[in-house]
Amino acid sequence: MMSDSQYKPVLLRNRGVAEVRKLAVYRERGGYKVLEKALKSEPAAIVDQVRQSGLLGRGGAGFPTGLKWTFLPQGRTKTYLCVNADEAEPGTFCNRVQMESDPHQVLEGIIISAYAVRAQRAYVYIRYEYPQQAAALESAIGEAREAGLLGRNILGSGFELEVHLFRNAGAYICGEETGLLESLEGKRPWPRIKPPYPAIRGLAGEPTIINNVETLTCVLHIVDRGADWFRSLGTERSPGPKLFCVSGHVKSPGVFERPLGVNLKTLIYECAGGVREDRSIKAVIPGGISTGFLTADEIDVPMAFESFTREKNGCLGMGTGAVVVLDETTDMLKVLHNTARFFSSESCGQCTQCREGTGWMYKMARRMLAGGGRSEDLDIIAEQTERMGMMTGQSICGLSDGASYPLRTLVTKFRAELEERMEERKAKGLAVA
Amino acid sequence: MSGMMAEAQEQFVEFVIDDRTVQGRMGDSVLRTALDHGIAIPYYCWHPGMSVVASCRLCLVEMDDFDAKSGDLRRVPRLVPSCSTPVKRGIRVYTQTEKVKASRAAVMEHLLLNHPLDCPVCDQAGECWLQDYDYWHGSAHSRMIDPKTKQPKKDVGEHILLYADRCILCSRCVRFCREVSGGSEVAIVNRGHRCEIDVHPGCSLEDKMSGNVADICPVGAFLDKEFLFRERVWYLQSAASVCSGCASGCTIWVDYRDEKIGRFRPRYNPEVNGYWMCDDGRYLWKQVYRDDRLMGFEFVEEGERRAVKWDRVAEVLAERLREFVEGHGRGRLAAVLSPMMDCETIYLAATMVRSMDPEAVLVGGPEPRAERNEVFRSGFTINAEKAPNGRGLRMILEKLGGPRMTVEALRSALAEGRIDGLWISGGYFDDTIDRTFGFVEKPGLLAVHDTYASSLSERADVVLPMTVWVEREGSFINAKNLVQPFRRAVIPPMGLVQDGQWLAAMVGQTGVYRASVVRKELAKLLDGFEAYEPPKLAKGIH
Repeated sequence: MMSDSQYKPVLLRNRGVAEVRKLAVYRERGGYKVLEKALKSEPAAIVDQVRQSGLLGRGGAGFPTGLKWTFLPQGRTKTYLCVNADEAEPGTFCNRVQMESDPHQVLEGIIISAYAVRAQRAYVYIRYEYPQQAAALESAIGEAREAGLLGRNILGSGFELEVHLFRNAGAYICGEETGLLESLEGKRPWPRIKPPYPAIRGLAGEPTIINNVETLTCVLHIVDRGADWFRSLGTERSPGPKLFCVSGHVKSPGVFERPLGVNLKTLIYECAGGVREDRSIKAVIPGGISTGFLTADEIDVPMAFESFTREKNGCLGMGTGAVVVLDETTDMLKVLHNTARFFSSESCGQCTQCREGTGWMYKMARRMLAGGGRSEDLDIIAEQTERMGMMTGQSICGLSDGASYPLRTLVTKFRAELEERMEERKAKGLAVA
Repeated sequence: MSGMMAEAQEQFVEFVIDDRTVQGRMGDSVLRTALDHGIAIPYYCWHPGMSVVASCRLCLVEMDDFDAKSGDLRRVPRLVPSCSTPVKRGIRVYTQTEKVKASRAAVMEHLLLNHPLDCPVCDQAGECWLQDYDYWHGSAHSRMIDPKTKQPKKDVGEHILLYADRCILCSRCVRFCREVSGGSEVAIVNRGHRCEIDVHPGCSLEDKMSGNVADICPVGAFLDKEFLFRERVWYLQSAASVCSGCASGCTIWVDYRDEKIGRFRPRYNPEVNGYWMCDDGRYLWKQVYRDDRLMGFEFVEEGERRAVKWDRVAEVLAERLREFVEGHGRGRLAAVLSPMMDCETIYLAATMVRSMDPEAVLVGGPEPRAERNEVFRSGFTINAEKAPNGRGLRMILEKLGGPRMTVEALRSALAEGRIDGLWISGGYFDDTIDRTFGFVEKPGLLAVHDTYASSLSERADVVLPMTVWVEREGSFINAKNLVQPFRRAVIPPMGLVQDGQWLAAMVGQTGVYRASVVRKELAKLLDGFEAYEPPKLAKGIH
């Protein structure tokens, strides 16, 4: 494995290239060559290649992409490809950078993947708060259609594909794949009961593949350079390159492309230039708020899907690889409040435990912030997270797990500070939050 | 034949719930099978007449399923919602493990966090699933000391109120309006714990299925204005009845207390109405308490109206009819029988008249009609025929034979003086009697057997108050030709008796009137009346 600093970006190779959003410039840099190559091979061969690459979905759950594709029923007449660009996990902004800096690369990945799963319609479901990114993608789609890269008989291969852009109405839950489907169908985005999984019954009841933007871009490079190249990067169980968003109290936040398995400390201290004003770290969110919090002692960890488990460090997973750094000056009670507020606002309200539980925890957090916190509230929050998320099966989708892990890790790992902060506020007297 | 038997066996699979081996129908859920076997798994959002959302999470159970790779039976790590888990041969379901109990307790605690706990003033109290399940699975205390999320009360339709803060967001009402009534007026707005049931802007629950949302609401969120604050449900008793609003013949429960009707509720009937009933029928109980009801038996004697007590009616009426037949001769008496009456009463009235005058003419009464059937998305139908027993009437008259006539023919027979004794039965909720029989002037004898006062009853020689169907027992034959018996729910008003009581006495049957006795006789005349009795006990609504 090459060392981190030598790594040459693949997914972000066109970032900073002037006018690369234009089709002509993208093509000059070898764009759509991989598509030509892909269209000459059998779709099944691409699926096979993706399987062999060991690509894990980049949307957060890390499900093997190739395996997902093989769930599609054999005799299907219709297939949809949904591109999940509803990047709403707090701290995550890598899809955004991809779409705004290199929309054609994203589109090429989509076309190749659609060909592999034999979809004739692809829907890019983009977050409402991404208007510029939507515009960039929209114009790329327009250019591609004009150049015969979309539509009927793409590049003379006989393959037909239309790509539609759909801007959501601004809800976190729409990023959940079946919530996304409901929303795309024009309904309230309440996640569906699974099984059946979307690959069997998805959009409009037809077999549907839903993948993250970054995942599909990885497919492009797997087809280009082969599964072995992909496996040569990253760890045994988490192969390939990954975009890491580093934000929070760091000197130079941003998106950094590194192979999976890169040390979290490397990302913080080398890529992002270290903590602002060279303070020490209090806590780090490794992969978006849902994954939970690491203490300063736990950050010497390789960023790979297998590194984050409840047993190892109390975290839900690597998530989207969105690192948020909190320095020593951070008030963890405010962090708890903010976290609880986010999930109570974003719970879709379908399942009892999540709907009422997130609301309850937010009310407690609000009271703590106002000086009315009790030690037993922390016990209730801990118990609550146990009942909502850790006891699996409590809800239809993963949102309640996502709400549980950060709050639980906060309460278990930072309890002393939380108690202290509550006392401070109590001493100041009750005030309205 | 053996193939068919194999197929029939295929439709059931055997599996285990809590050490009990049960038979589940293929395609059914674990929950449904458990309930069919009397195994209580609590649930809110599931309803057998609507799609499954599995969102309340109360019916979660533990399960052993076959491992995909090894094929061994293994405990599924997650709790599974029994409402959306299909039955499968050989699986084992556990409904009483510590994990399941903890999960139920958690759901109950959560549902009650923001609930106002205003049971003392809530109409649902006593049949509230929050009360029941909290008693069984929850705890007596709330640990939340923060203010509850408050939501408003709303007037959402002609018959319906919504107390949004009592709602547990099971979404039954939303699905009902989408899948059953088809109006799609109700939706959930907002997210998370601020989720709230509401009607879409500019919409209200105005269609004729709206009353059902109050029935299916497991808590006191949707309430029926007509029932609001009227009765505490634990005082109510239920009688199995059949709606007489139209020819559909929805089976219903009549809930009553102290001989006073509280409300009608649909009674599950897969052949006719499923789990539902329409508002036309739901509020038909008001017909019992109309001011214009005929409240006493009256006979004109020597130009004067005289009241006759119910126990002498048979005697006095028989004498009066006999006098008429003797005075005018046979074949000059016509009896108009009403499709508002049950088969038993029709049969008794017809045989009674024929016992007085074997050549009496029988006339099928008018059948009020709307323009067309009203069909809702689920197929639920309000029939255009607005009488419950038109078919029963026609069939009985057919079978009885003898002289018959239509209403039109009766009119000319009266004008030509071929008929001069007239017996008219009514019981119509509308003005059918006045509209149809305006031509009747003053025949030799006019006997009116009707529920409500009319111009006809004013000029009648004999007035015989008819009971409303909930005050008697009997059976209707509905639009699908189903014989549907019903029980008496309340006793008739003071001074009145079931019509069968005096009619039966006139044909020699003494003692307390029993529709089942007449039904046995009817069975000789018509198929389908054999030994069919309505259920005695009320079961809880779904």
